[in-house]
Amino acid sequence: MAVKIEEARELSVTQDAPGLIDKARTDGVTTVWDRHEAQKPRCGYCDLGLSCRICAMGPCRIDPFGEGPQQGVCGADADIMVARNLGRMIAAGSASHSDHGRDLVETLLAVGEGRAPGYTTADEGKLRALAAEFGIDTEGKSSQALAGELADAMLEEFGMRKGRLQFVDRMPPARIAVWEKLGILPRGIDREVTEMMHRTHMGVDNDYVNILLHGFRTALADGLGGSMIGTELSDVLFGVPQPATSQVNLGVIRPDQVNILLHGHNPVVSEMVARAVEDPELVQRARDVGAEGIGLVGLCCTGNELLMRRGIPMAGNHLMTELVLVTGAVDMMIVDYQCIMPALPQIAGCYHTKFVSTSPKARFPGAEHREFTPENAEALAREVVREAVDNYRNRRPGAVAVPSKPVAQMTGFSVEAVLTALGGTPQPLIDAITGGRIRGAVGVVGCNNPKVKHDRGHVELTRRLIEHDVLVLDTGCAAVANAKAGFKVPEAADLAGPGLREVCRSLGIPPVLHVGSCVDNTRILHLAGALANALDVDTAQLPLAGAAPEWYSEKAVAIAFYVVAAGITTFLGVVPPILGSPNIVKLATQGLDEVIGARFVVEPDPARCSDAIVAHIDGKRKALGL
Amino acid sequence: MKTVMVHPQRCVGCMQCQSACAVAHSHTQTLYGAVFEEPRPAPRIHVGPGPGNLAFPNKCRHCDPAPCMQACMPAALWRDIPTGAVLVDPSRCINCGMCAMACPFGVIRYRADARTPGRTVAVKCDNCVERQKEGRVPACVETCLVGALEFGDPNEILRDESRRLAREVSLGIRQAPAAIPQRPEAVELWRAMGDAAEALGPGG
Amino acid sequence: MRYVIVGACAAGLAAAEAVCSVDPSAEVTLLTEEPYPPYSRPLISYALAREIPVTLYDLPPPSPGQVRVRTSTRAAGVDPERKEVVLEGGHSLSYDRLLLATGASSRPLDLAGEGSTNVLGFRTRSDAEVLDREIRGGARTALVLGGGLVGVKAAHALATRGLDVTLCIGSDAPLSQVVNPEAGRKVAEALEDEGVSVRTGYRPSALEGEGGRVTAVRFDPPGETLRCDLVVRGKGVRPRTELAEVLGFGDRDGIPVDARLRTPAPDIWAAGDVARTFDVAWQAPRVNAIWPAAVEQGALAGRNMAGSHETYPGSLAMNSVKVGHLHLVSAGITRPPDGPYEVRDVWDPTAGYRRVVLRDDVLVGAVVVGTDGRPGPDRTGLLIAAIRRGARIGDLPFDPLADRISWSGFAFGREAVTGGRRGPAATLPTGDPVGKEVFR
Repeated sequence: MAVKIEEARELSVTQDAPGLIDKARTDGVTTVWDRHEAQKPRCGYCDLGLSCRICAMGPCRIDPFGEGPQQGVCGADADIMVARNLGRMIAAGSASHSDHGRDLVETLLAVGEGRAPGYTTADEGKLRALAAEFGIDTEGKSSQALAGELADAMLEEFGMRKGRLQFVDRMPPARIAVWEKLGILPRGIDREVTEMMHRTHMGVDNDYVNILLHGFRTALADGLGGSMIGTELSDVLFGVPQPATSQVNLGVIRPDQVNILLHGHNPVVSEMVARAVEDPELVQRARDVGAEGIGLVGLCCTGNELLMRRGIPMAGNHLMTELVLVTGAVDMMIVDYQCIMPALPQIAGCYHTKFVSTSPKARFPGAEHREFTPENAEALAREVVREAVDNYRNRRPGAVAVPSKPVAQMTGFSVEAVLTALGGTPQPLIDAITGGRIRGAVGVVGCNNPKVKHDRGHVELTRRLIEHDVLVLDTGCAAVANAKAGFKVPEAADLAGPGLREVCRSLGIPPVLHVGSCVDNTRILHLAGALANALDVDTAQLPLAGAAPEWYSEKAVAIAFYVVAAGITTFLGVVPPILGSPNIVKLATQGLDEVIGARFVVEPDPARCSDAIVAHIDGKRKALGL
Repeated sequence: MKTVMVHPQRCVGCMQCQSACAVAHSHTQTLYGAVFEEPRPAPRIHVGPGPGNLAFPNKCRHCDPAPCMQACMPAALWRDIPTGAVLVDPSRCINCGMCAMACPFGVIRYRADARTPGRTVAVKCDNCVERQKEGRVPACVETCLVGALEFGDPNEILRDESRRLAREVSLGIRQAPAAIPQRPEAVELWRAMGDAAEALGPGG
Repeated sequence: MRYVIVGACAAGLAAAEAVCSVDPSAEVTLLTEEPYPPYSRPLISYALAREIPVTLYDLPPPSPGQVRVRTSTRAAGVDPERKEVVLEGGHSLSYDRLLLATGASSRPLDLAGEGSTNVLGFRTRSDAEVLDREIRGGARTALVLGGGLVGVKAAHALATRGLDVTLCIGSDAPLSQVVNPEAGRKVAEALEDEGVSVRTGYRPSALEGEGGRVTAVRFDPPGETLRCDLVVRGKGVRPRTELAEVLGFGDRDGIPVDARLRTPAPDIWAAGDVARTFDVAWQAPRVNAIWPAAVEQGALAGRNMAGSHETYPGSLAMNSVKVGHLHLVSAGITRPPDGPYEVRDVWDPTAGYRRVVLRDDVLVGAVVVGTDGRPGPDRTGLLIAAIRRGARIGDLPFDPLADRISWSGFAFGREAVTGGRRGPAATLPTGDPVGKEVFR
């Protein structure tokens, strides 16, 4: 049963989604919105963080209205229960980013050991700089040798040897002092996650403040550990992103070509696929089956990685991943891991799309599994692309519909690229901020969540922020939303306030800068550290903020915690499951300011959120005497 | 008269009805808001353990005649004729405890509720008469995902079922009334575990 | 059909409403000797304590089109042959059906000087208004004679108004007719906390005073005289059987009625504090002068008067008393006589004080005393429903000595609500009549 297009427009602010939501229903395909509806009403206890399934004495719940139990079987009260659940969310998020980072270290190690055909150290300068940062003598060493040594040093970061992570030193001394005082300097990526799981076992850490402090430490092990390694090594292996132009939205799928979608987070597989589609033999094969060529399109953060480094067009973010398949024009979807809805293989099955999983960690019922390793990736990528080309013939023309035209966007703003654009030093940016042309900067990041009208949180917040001369840096799903809204072209400077407009025009950049995937939030952290160091202040003093208007994932919780740990107040558009503990709510939204110099703000309304962020930035400026 | 029918054998003890009820009787009408109200709104339905520790949602049956109404000295309890619901007029309630004493179901509580801040009064199910006026079913029924709570005229529900049964039996589709209730396998297995728990004794 | 109802409180009002619900052509006359339209008598203690506004007294009038309320009208006699009620002043009123719902009055002290203006019962709105006038007129010291429910409530209300109140009890604890001494002493402690001085073993032997006012009361034992501005009779109530006695039945133990609440005289029924009905706990006829029983009996008698043939399942004594932080609930037999009775008492900080009384393992009585709402009266209804049903202790699916929510009320409740009465059953299908598919 087809829904009226008006109903579909209630679900997404984008131009391309409503038509395909409508098509999905016509085709009898169940989407994330249908399942979200079917889950209503959601469990109020879980929603408030007041349910605990950690041990088998339970499951337990605490009645938020005071009628029923006020303690779990073990005696945990609302504070302990909420803290445990939150701690485990942070641990899961940190673990996800860090495991992603480790896969890059292992690829680098394979490069160093000469057993990864096709992979190279694409950016030798960055390799050498990182090696030096890790205290490796680079003098006269080949890049292959350095790759091996750097990989070894980084693997050390996961275990616990040195006492603190190397990248901590990228942050200003004032910030490090705060962490030292609180006892939350991250000691090892695996250790903090493990310790969080230990602490939240029944009968270990029962002080909610203590659990939350360790939450910050666990999150820092992500931001200055797993995620940052993921970003930096992706740059080493596949190149440091440079500004480039590309396209975004479902319109990037051209029905007349073989379309391969890359979905997930890790560039290790997708980079090889990107190389394979350029193989003339495979391109000829595509022509032979009647296609115009092979189109490679990205989704989610794998898409962001490809977009940043290769300008490969971006089809959409989290809530678009199903709709992309509904176009009927996708011949293959290749996935690695994270945020890949288990529903996707089923939807692929409704069309002719082949769904290929590639990681031993992430298997999907209904998928064809092709396990990629550094050793086999180059050859396997070609094989998989060949299968995709051959699948073109199975298209059902009646089922194909691509209802929109692509939007242009500019991408590739790595820290290095930003500094290059500024002439090699952050000084022009600092001058623009101190001079007031740029009021401040906000990282608008995070996922999509069907609780929020798709992309509305990102787009409306970003639009308002740039109107107020706030420079926006974006990553992940937020980046896709903003690109689709047309904020990522230099002409979008017209949408910005007068100060930001002038800066953007002079540099030829858009008012919203794409800095990458969700692990690339560490680029923002890195940049904040560099700015603070240049000004000789704490990051907490800078006119910065973080915002996750549509977050859903545990990874987003870890990110929010390391951003707040860095002294950057973070605004959430979706309520985290902590409201069951008024003490924790008070701590997170008020008390933290005194302890760590930043706090969480929950504000689902983009307009009010923008006002709050601007007020927050103005407060920071005033304190700095600006 | 329409009321909430309880099918205890379907209840999985999720207590969603309890929190939905509290929210429906709050000022903010949202879960996130209700937990921060002072006083916190009180639920009017209470999920407690029944035999074998299986859950039972307990709420006012809106009896007729209602023992609580008969026991109420200031006439604070009254019957809303259109809906048949037995309601509390908090402005008349003197918190004497008589209605709870008379209630054979144990469903009347005394609270300073969201609607009577500062005054402890009898609090009980109102069959969501306000929601009914808006054409909505009671909050507990709306939130119950397993069909343990059903809103309707009990006589009609029973009549419809017996008609359906009569038709099916006469057509030879079903052999005997034992065919109802038809429960899904998952529920049957779960119930069997409940029986095992009961066999193990209290707390099993 | 003409119905006359003597008495316009709980039983009379419930009867009037019930008559109209069955007989749409009924003409009902409600007689009350008091000057007020129907009001709720038990609220006088709350009104005296100024815990409620006076408007709360008023009860909603029954079916105004069919029921005529005659205030300040006292029935002096009944002529069963002519089917007339003789009113004070000589007029008479014909009836087809008559209900005696004359209630009860404060038990007298039987002492000289009892008619003094500052010696009062605590039963009617007039009593409360006189007391209020006395307090506003400067009364500072009050003696409450007798620790019955009326005495406890009067003492508490007077203390709330700031008076020096002494509650003088002949026995060793308050509420000796209602609960066991252990529970009664907890009430005494609560009264002391509320500023009431409680003296046990004080029996009034003489009222002293002059000019129509009592200024002191002599107690023997213990042989002491206490000064006072006010005296309140608090020894409980006795049924007002004057009309029945004229008819040749009824005595100080109330008016005897059958299972349909008919008196021995044709077309005359009795209900409420005056009627001696079957008591389910004692398994014997007994007056239970409590509000819920009066309403229940009045309603049943009213329906039977109008043509129904319903049987009264029996009454059960039950009381709910609140004094400061204490809340006491009692039901049935709390102080068993010698015989096949067993008493179980528990006292613990969460469950409070609890007593259950068994006769041959059948639950016949219970006392629950909680403080600060723990346990509150909330779930005592389950226990009382079990007593009403005559459940054996071994059959109870819950522990009557523990404060635990249980679905037990389920089975007992249904019987309690439907037993012997009309109206639809409680809505509790035991099967699954709908057969909705839930888990798809």
